[in-house]
Amino acid sequence: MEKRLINKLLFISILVFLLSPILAFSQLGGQIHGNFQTDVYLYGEDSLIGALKPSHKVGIMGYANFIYELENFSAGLRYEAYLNTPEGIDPRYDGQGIPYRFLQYSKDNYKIVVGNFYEQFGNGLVLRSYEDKTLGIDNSIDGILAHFSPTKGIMFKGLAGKQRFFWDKGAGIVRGIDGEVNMSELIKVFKSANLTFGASVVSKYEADLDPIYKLPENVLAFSDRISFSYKNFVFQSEYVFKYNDPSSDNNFIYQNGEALLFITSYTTKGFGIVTQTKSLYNMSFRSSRTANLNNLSINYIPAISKTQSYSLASMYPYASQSNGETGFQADIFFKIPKKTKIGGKYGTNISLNFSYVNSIKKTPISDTILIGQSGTLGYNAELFTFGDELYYRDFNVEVSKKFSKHLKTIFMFQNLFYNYKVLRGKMGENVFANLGVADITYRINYNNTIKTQLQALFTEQDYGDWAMGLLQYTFKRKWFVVFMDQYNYGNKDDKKRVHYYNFALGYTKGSGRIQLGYGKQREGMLCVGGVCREVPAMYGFTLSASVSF
Amino acid sequence: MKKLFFLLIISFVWFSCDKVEPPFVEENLEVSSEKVVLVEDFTAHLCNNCPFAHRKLEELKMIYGEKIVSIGIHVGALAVPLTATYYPEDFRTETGDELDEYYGASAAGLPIGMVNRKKISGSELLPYDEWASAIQQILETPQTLEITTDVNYVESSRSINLTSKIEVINTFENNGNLMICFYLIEDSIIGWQKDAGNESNEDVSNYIHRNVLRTSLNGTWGQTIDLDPQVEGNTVTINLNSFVVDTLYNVNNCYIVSFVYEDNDNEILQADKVKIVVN
Repeated sequence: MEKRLINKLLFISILVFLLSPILAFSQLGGQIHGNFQTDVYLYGEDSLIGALKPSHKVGIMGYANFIYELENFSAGLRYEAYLNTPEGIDPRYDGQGIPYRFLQYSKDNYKIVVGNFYEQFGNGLVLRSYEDKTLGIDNSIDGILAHFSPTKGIMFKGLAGKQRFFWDKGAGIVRGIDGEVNMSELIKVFKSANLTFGASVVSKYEADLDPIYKLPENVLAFSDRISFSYKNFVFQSEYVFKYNDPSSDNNFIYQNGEALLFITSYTTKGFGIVTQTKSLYNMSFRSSRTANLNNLSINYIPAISKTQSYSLASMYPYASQSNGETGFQADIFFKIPKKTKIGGKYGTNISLNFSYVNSIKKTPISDTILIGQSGTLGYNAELFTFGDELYYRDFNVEVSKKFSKHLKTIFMFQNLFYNYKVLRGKMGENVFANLGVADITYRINYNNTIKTQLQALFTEQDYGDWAMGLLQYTFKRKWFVVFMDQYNYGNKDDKKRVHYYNFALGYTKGSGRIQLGYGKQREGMLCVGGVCREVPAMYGFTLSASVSF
Repeated sequence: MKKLFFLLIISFVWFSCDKVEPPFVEENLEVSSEKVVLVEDFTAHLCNNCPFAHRKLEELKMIYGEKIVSIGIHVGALAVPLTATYYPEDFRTETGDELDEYYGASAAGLPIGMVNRKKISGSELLPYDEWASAIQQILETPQTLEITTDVNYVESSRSINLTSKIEVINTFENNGNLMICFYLIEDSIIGWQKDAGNESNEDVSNYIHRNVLRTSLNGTWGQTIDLDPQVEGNTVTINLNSFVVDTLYNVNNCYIVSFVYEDNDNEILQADKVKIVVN
C-alpha cells in the first residue's frame, strides 16, 4: 500500500516537473487546454468464463494531453501511464512516460510541426497515423511535418519520421508527400460543382539485416484520388499501388500490392443512399517488416460494413483483410414523412444496410510454387475478382420512430455470416446468425430518462444463442445507473450457460465523467473501423474517470 | 498543376524504390564467428500458430547448423493439459514459468522468442520472422567465450555429473556479473499440437516436439562464475554433481544446454549443447 502511495506521489511530482516549462509559458498569455482519462480494473477470477486474475491484480491506464497555444504557436504533450497495462492491451505498454510531444507553428498558408504528429493522406489507404486507446493503437510519427498552400485550392503536405512502437520507435523510417488540388477553387467553370484531385507518395526505409532473403530496403507506395460532388451527388475514388514489400503479414512474398476504393452517395431530403466498393491485395504496409497486430501500420484499410453499437450486434465484427478482399456495401436511409399514417406525428426513419466481403482470387505463379510461398512472387491477383471464400455478409434493417416527446424507439434486425477462421484467426465454425434489437427510451421529464434494450442473437454455432436486457435510468441529468445482463442461454455446454451481468453507476457534469462498474465480460473481438484486438474474458470492478479542459 | 507534377516527379526520384529481381533468396551466406547463439522459443501445444515458429527454427538450423541451439519453452494458458487422451501433455516447467513471468512472453502472444535474450528495438521478445536477422547480427560479432561442458551419466542412478570449462577467447569489458545456467532439454517428444499450417486437421496427435525445456540444473538464473573477461585465456571450471534425471524423460533424447550471460542486461554471450548419453 505504501509503495502505491509513493508511486502516486512520484507520478504527480513528475507531472508537475514536466509541465513546469508549459506553466512558465503561460506567463506570456496564451491558453492551455487538454484532457485527462484514467481506467482502473480490479480483476477477479472466474474459471467458467475464462477470466484470469493476473498476479498484479490491478490494471491501471491513465493519460493526459496538455496543449498550449499562443497566437500562431502551439506546443503539447501527452503523458501516459500503464501500471500495469489492463488485460487485453499489449503488456509492452507497461510503464510510464511521455510518448507524444510536439511544437507547432502555423501562419496564413503554412504549418510546420516537429515532434510527434498524426496525419492522413486521402482515405488513409497509403498513410494514416492515428491513435485509439481502446484498440491499444498509437502509430504517431516522430519527425517533421509541413503543410503548404501556395494558393487557395492547392495544398501540399510533406513528412518524415519514425513511428511509435510502445515506449520506443520502430526500426523503419516513413517519408511521404501529398498534394491536393481543388479545381472549383481554381477554375470558375467548376463553381457549381466540387472537383478535387489528390496524389500521394509514401516510402519507407528499413535496413535489410535478413540473412535469408534479399529484402528491398526502400518500399514505395503511391496513390491517386478524385472527389467529385455535384448538387446531391458525391463520387470519390482512390487507387493505391505498392511495390514489393515482403513481410510477416504476406509471408515474405515479393508481389506488388494494389487497392481501389469507390464511394458514391446521393442524398436528398428524407432519402439517402451511400455505396462503398473496395478491392485490394497485399496491402499491409508497416514501417517494420516483422511487426504484427496493430503495430507500426503506415496505412489503414477502411472497413465497409455497418458500425454496430448494440452489444450483441458487435459480437461478430468485420476485420479488414490486408492480404486480399473484394467487398461492397450499400446503405439506404429514408424517412416516412410526419403526419402520415405510418410516419406518425414525428415521422419514421428507416435504414437498410447490406455489406458483402469476399476473398480475392489468387492464382499460382507456376506449377511448382505454392500460393503465398515465402521467397517467391507468391501469387497473381487482379482487383475486383472473387476467390472461393466468403469472409462476411451482413444485412440490417433499422427502424427508428419517435411516438411522443417522451417515447422514442429503435428496432433493428440483422442477419450475418461470419467467417470465423479468417476473422478470428483461429479454428472455429463459420457463424450464421440472426439478431433482433428493441431499444426504447422513455423521457419522464427534462431531468429523468429511462432506457431499456432487449436483444436476442440466434445462432447454431460458436457460443449459440444469447439474450440481453438492459435498463438504464438517468436522473437529475447528471447521474445514471445501468443494469445489463447478457445471458448465453443457448450454449451447447450447459455448464457455460452463463449470465454476463454488468452494473454501472456514473456521474457526468460538463466535460467530466466518472463511472464505477462491476460485472463480467465475455471474451471476443473488439473492432473499430475494421481494426481489431482480442478481448479476454474479464470479471471484476472497473472505475473510469475523464475530464477535458 | 505544374507545381504539383513537378513536386511529384521530384518526390519519385527522392524516394527511391528498390525493386528486387528473382531469385529473392540470398545465395552465399558467410558466417565466420564461432559464436553459438541460443534461441528460446516460447510455445504451447494449444497455440495453433506456434508450429510456424518451429518450422522457422528448422529452416534456420539448415542454414546455421550448430551455431544455434534452440529450446522450446512451453508457457501460458495455451500450454495447459486438457484431458487424459486429448492434449494430455504438460510441458510447463518452473523455469519456463519464471522466464515467462519475467519477459512477458505469453502475455505478448505466442509464438514469440528470444535470441540470446538480446534486446532489439527495445525488447528481448522477437517474432519468429526477426530471429534470422538477430542471429545474423550476433554472429557478425566476435566470439568472446568458449564453453565446453562434459557430462558423465550414471545409468543405475540416472544421475549426472557435469564439468563445464569456460574460457575467455577475446577479452571484453563486463558491466555485470557473469552467470552460467544449465538447462536440461528433451528432444523429439511425440504428442499433441495444434497446427494452423495443417490444412486437413488442426489437431495433430503425433507432432514431434523439438528440444523441450524440462528443467534447470542450477536455477532459472544460474550461478555466478568467477572469471575475469579482460584476461585472454583465463578459464574457470564449474562442477555440478549428482543431478538426477526424472524417470519421465527419455534420457537418450536429453541434452544439457549451458550458457553464460551478464546479469546487468541478461544478454547471453555464448551457448553450448551436449548430449547426456553418447551412444
